[in-house]
Amino acid sequence: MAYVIVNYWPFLAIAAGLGFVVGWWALGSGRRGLGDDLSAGDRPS
Amino acid sequence: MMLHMAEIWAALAACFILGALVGSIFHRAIALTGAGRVQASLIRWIDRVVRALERVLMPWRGSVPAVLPQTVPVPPPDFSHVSDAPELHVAVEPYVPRHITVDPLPSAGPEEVEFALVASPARPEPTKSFEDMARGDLVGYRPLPLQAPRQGVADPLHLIAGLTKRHAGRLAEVGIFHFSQIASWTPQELAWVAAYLGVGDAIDDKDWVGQAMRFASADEPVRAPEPVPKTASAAKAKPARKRKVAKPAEEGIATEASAPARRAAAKRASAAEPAAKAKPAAKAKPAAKTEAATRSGPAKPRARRKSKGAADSAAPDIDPATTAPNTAPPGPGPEADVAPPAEPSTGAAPAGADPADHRREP
Repeated sequence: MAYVIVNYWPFLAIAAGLGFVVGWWALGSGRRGLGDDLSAGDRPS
Repeated sequence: MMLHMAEIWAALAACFILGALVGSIFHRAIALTGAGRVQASLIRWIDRVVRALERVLMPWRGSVPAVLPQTVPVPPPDFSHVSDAPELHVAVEPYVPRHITVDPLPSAGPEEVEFALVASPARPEPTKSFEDMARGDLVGYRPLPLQAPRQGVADPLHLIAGLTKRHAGRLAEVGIFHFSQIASWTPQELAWVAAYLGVGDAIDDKDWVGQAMRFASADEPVRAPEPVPKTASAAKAKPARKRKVAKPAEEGIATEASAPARRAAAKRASAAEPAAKAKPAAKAKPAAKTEAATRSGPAKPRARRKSKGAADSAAPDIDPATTAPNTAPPGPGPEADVAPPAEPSTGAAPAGADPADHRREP
């Protein structure tokens, strides 16, 4: 595993960055089927 | 090699999931601050872009199928009133002269609480009815009528709250006699009836259709409420009832009383013994008790009353109010009236209660 982390860290970083963006976007997106109540606090009042 | 690939993909997945987790937390943190609005608009933009990309990459999603199934236009059914057509007018004619008279207090007796269908050959003012029908036709469809009540007996439609006997009579004029007919009204038919009767929104407010549905789906056929037995038939029934009550007392046996009721009555009589007011009852009860051992069954209020009557036979002056018709529902009224005179300890026993309650009594 250490070998993978050392040699492939740029890819892992890209994956983590992509995950970050997706997680950030998915929480506020209106495309979600469920969990609308979660974004209730996000909406501008 | 395979293990190495698995390790790489697992590491990538773990990083992605961890990043998504952190990203969602970040989103929430931003939403709590003043930048939440900017964040929301940014995400909305991203949504639009994603949707546009979707449309480009997957054009088949969210669109109607290219070939629509072939449909044939079906014209709406014509339920309009046919009074204008002379040849069809004959078919409607029977409703107009037929006059339904609702007899709320039938003199024949409580068993015959029905609606008398009186056919009067000529009704003087059919024009008003037609005017009302025309008014209904403007706003809805006329409900499909029946030529006559099924089995010749109309339902007591006036049991519906908000529907008076007059309304019931007018509904009968247009061929509506049963709860089931009202229960199946569509909104258009409801509008027609509202305009025809001139009741406005009362049908909706009082939920006639819902009430009719409940009546129509009742287990027992709905009858008009039984009138107070003040009629001549009730007075006639009185002596017969008296005789029935007195007979078992003479023999010392209550013929129809079932076991729990007898046991309860015997207990009550034995409790009354110290009071020394109902000696004949005390004499009658042990005999009833011995016979009760051979029988079993649910206690009928009527039977219980009969056995009480046996206890009460020493006092022949039975109140006429107690000699209600046989079909009278088991209630506290008659029970309380026929209660034996001497039961100071058990006087609070509720009428129609389970016999087990009596057994629990001290």
